[in-house]
Amino acid sequence: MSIDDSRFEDYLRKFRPVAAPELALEDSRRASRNSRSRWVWAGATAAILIAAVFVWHGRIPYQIPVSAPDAQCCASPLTLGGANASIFGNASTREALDRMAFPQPANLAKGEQSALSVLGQEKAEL
Amino acid sequence: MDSTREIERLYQQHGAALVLFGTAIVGEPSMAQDAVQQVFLRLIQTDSIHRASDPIAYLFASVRNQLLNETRVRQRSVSLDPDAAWFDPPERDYAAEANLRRALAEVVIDQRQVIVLHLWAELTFSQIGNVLEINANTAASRYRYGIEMLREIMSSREKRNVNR
Repeated sequence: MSIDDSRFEDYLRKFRPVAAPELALEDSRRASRNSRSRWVWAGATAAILIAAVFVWHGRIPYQIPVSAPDAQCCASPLTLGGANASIFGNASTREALDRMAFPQPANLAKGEQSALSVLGQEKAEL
Repeated sequence: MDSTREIERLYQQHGAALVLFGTAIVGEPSMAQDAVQQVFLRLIQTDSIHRASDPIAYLFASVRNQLLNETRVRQRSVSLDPDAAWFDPPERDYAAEANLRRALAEVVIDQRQVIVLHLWAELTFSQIGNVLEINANTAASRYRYGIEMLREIMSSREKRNVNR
């Protein structure tokens, strides 16, 4: 670069860029404050809703329908050992599978039938 | 809070050069000022300045992108605002300021951007390369050609004024 060039650059540097106006920070602070308070409100609302759901569920105790016959029949769970014994103890495998799928209630009196077995005997007419 | 103060400090240090750089791109100081404000407000909200390896180059690149996006959106050609000053002239020589401003506006935009970034924003050619996404050598060569062009335009204008 020649001397003329550097003199020309020095001359140009004497011109200073016009000062920038004040940074409008207040708008951004307000926007940031607004967005923060919006999040706080959303969080508080969500917490209240969750608490309300818990309170509502706490008032209604969950009841197991113990009087239902099917509940009694399913009291003893099906195990691998039980299934094995049932297959070997019955005359046919199909009968054993039926017993496992539709266990009979233990406390039926003699001559009584469960609703499931009655329904199984009905012939559906379409 | 500290990062806001840091951003304010960056604005005080580089705000004027950023506005000049934006004006050199779009020709209108008011549009450049708006773009610079938007960039800084976004920086405060997102705190993205800390992710930049060179915060100063990042600022100039952000202003440039902001203005390029805006001019693309507005789909209009850029024209020089004849009344708005770009510089505070030495010894209140406003005629010289107008002469420099008009001469700068005649220089090709690629060279004009490099001249502003090197002379008034005091960026190195490597930083200018980062801002304009060009090689540092390309930035240096654009600067040399641009300065030559600017001097020719200014001297021919002065000669014309003397002859009048």
